[in-house]
Amino acid sequence: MKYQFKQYNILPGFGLTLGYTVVYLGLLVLLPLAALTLSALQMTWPEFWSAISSQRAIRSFALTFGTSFIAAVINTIFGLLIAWCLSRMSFPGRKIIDAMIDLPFALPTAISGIALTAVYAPNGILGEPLARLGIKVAYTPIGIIIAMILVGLPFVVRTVQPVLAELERELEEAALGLGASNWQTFSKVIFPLVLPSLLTGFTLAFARNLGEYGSVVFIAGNMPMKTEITSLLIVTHLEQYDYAGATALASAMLIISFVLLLTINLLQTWSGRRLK
Amino acid sequence: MTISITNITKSFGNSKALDNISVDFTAGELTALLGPSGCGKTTLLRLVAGLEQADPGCGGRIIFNGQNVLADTAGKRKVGFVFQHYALFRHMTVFDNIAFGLRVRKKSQRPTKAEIKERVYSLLELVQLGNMADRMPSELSGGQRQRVALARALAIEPEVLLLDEPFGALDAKVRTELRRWLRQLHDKLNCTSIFVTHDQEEALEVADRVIVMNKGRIEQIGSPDEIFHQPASEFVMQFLGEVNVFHGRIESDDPQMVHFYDQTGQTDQPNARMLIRPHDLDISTEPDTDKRQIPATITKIQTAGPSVRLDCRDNNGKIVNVRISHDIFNRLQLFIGQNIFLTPKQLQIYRSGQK
Repeated sequence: MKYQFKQYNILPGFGLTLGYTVVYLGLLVLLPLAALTLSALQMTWPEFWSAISSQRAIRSFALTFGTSFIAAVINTIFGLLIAWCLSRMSFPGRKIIDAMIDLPFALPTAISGIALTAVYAPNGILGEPLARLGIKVAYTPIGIIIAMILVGLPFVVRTVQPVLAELERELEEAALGLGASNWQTFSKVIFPLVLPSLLTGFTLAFARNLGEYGSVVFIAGNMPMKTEITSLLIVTHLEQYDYAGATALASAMLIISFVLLLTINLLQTWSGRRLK
Repeated sequence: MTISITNITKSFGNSKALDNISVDFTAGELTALLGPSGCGKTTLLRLVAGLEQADPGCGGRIIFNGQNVLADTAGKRKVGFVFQHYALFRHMTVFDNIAFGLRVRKKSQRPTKAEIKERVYSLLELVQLGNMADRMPSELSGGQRQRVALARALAIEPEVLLLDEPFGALDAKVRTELRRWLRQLHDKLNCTSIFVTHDQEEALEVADRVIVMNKGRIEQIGSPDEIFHQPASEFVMQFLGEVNVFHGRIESDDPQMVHFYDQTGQTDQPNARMLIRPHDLDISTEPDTDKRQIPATITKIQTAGPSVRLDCRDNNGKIVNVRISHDIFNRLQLFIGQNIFLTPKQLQIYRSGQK
């Protein structure tokens, strides 16, 4: 079968739009990434390998992906809860809370980092009582996770909220009328229908967490091997004029992220296919 | 199952959707709730289903077979509910949709897998969708979706079947087919069924009993025949089909003495309205002695259709609709501009201030 490239479309300018999309993505995304790959290619394989397989680098990868994943999972659970609350319940101040959800988008990340550090430091408002209980938040991976939860929150809420708002009440009524319990109605009817958007939100939050820098560096403490995320390690390399090392780490990070995001996207397509 | 509703009031905000309603539904009957949009018919149906709660403090009761179910949840009442827009679970196959009500039961009451399979397939046969078990709802037509929704509702073996404008979203031809089929199905099932509709034709054709509602109150309860031929109020008469309304004056209590029509065209101080259906007007080309005769002029003739439709203009300039058979039309050889005389065969009179 011959692939039909030109499809009839009611909107004109298909060629122009596609061309613009390719050029735009090329200039803004692909070109810088290609330059990065190119400079990484100038290294020999052993050089590259030693740059990314040092103990410090591996620890930073594990920390970055681990904390990003945990933060994204927590955001997914509580994001769903908040989205449910905002789309299904009416209470005084709902609009204000709705608007506050977007604040982490607008806030410069350094500011949220400093604010979180102030609160969670051993002498901070929350840090002090927690320290007395023996829980250290600032300068530990828990602090990193909290910073990532803050910046990733809007993604889940904003992707799930419209889907929940459009979900017909009648579906719930039908399930309850057929004798389903509240939990069965949620798990068998509502959850499968919001799952694709939940996965989208998770992916966005996870991706954002992987690249997060500003808010994390303040609360992390940046102790090598312990609380040093990859983004920070790259900056450290740069400050020491070790461009090759920085590039190698960045490329590795890029490849792993790409593979992970692609997998999640495929998973999401699969889960969404049944809901046409 | 007999359903008895007494003194139920339901408000949304300041407006009363149902105003002190009392009505009984006889076991095994198919009842239609008929009325214009906003008359409270859907609210009444949802109250019976338990999807809506009556106003606290209205003192009303909803009784299923002698038991007050007012405080029971929708799931506990075991009623089958069919929604206007199907409300199928779109992430489940037709089979899983129908099996839902059985699978969510507690382990002790849940049928085995084989029993569920058997029940679902027999329901699929019943709704004539035997080979559709593995389809997704999105792959079905509107009529098929509604039948799946019906099968899903019947899976829990309800003694009460409630249908909220079940054919409202379907096109005209499918709608007529499905409502005849629903009537046959109801006779087979032997459960108490209530359906909501704003389509008088549907109600009159399908139901054993029709309840006409208006503004949160019941206007009339009766067989389709009673509702159509002996409307209890002007509203019922108007709602159940086309009518011509004439304003006139009652000069004594005897309706025969009503001087409704006046050749000069003016009636002083009208105090009553006379309602006549278009098919209840006899047409003649010559005047006679009947005092009630209405002289008019034909302004439009529409012969396409099972009967001939005439638009006439009376002496007051008012349009009067008349329907006559093709036979009469051909015999009288009517034409546009012709002067004719209309005699009511049957009419309803409502005095001003009366409903």
